Amino acid sequence: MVPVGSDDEKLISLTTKIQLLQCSNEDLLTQIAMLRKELLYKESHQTMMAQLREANQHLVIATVDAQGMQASAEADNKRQEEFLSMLAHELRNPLAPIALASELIGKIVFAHPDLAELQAIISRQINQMTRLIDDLLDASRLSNGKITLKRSIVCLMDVLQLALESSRHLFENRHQHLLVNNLRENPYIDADLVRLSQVFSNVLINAAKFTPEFGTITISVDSKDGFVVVVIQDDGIGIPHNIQPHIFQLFRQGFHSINRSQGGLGIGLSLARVIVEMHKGTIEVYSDGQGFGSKFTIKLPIATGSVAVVEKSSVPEIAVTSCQILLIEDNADTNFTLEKLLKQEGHRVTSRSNGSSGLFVAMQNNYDVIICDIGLPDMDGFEIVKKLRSETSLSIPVLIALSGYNQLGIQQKAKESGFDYFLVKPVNVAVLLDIISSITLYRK
Amino acid sequence: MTKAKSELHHVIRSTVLRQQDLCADVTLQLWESLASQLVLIIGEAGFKSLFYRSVHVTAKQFSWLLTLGPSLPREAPFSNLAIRLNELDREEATEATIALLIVFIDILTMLIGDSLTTGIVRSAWGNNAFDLATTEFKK
Repeated sequence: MVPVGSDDEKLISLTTKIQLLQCSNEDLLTQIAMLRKELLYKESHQTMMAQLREANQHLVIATVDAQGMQASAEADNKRQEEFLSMLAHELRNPLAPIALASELIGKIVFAHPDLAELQAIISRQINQMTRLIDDLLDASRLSNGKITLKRSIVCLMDVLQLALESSRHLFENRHQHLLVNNLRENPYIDADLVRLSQVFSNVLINAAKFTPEFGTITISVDSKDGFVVVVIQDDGIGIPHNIQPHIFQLFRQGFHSINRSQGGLGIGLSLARVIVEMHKGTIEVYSDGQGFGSKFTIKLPIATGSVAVVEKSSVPEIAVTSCQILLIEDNADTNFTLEKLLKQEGHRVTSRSNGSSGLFVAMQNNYDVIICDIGLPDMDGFEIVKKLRSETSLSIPVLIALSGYNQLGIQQKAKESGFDYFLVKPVNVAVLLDIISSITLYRK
Repeated sequence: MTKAKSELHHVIRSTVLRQQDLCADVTLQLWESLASQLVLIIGEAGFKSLFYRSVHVTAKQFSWLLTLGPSLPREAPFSNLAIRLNELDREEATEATIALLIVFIDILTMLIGDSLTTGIVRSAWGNNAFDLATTEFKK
């Protein structure tokens, strides 16, 4: 038996302790290594978190900025639309009495040998000015995607006819030859007659502007694979290759036109493209370059299925009888010229220059027709008509609104207020007289 | 509107309306807790940008909100908002608070989606806010 506390025993115990310490030392080193690893992982995790936070921060700021910019661009668009609409209104107002005065001069052309020609010049320039104003509004509608179509089944010839009516004078002025090929092709298309004729008219006007005097413009019609193909070709100044891809962009013009007085605003072709695409068609341009003329190809789908066309009814001849008319218009010149013109047509006209006095006489007297401007200083046309319809004990006359604004919203509001007709300034006198004549027909 | 978004709107309304008399204090508390959660994810500048966009949009309805200029440090707009709310009558203060929070949450939802937004709002305002809103709805 070995006595307790002997050297050997102590040695054994120490050795065991050393071994234990060595083990725990190894454990500790392993743990330290693991902790170091965890720490590294945690640090890299934190770095990644910070990087993600920073990325998120940038994304949020960018998105919020983009939202702000979008809202601001939309507000700018709205302001631009309002400005253009107001500008058109302000330009139409002075144009209205000029157009009416021109109509009046047209009735006394026998007074001087030059008068007929001078009146024709005024009339043409009024049409040109009206067209420019309409283009301005269309540009605004284009940028806001507010062009709308009133579709029906129409034949292509009617569309081309209407387009030629509004562009023929340009060819005549510039002594250009207009050749029309293969008009036997006359397919039906599902289209907005007015808008589509505007397309062809814009392309034709463009051709006239960029073709020298005595040049030739050719229209040819063909059909292929369910599409009608109309080609309008000229031997004018042509379009450089680098400009051709941009020719249908808004406010873009290839060249300044030869005749700057017919310059335009660079809206026509852009409008044409949008209208054609709304009809599920295409419009393309091709030119061999400067000096080689241009060729516009417009493809439109031919209407399929059974085609029901609304036949144009023949308008009965109406014997004009005198109407009692109230005219409410604050523009003194428009008031004067329109009153004179209506009186010359044999009508009895009372005129007022503000809303309240207009409403007062309308409540006191029987009228067949009330022609009322929308923008009056004291009480607008909508209010006059609403009050008249709700308060008068007299029979309601035919109510015609006049306005320098030509937006769908205003037309709709006029209808809702109780107007029967809506005419845009400068008033198309023939249309106005037709409306008044039809009243006499119904009265019979 | 998604179900989650409509639930969040409801939670906002119910939380603010429940303590209408303490509108300014409640507003301050709600914004601070939202900020503390969101700053972790989108950073201080991200939160600030989101907050001022909401202020700008809501100012169309409550124009006085424009006085909370974006040049202020993060804590300042909340206390400024609380000061302005204290000056208003109870009705308008409540409506403005609700409108601003709804606009903020809508923009946030648009950015990060329904699920994450709901999660953040829950962490910020606690489950209790959601439970109380649900109970009120059931009543």
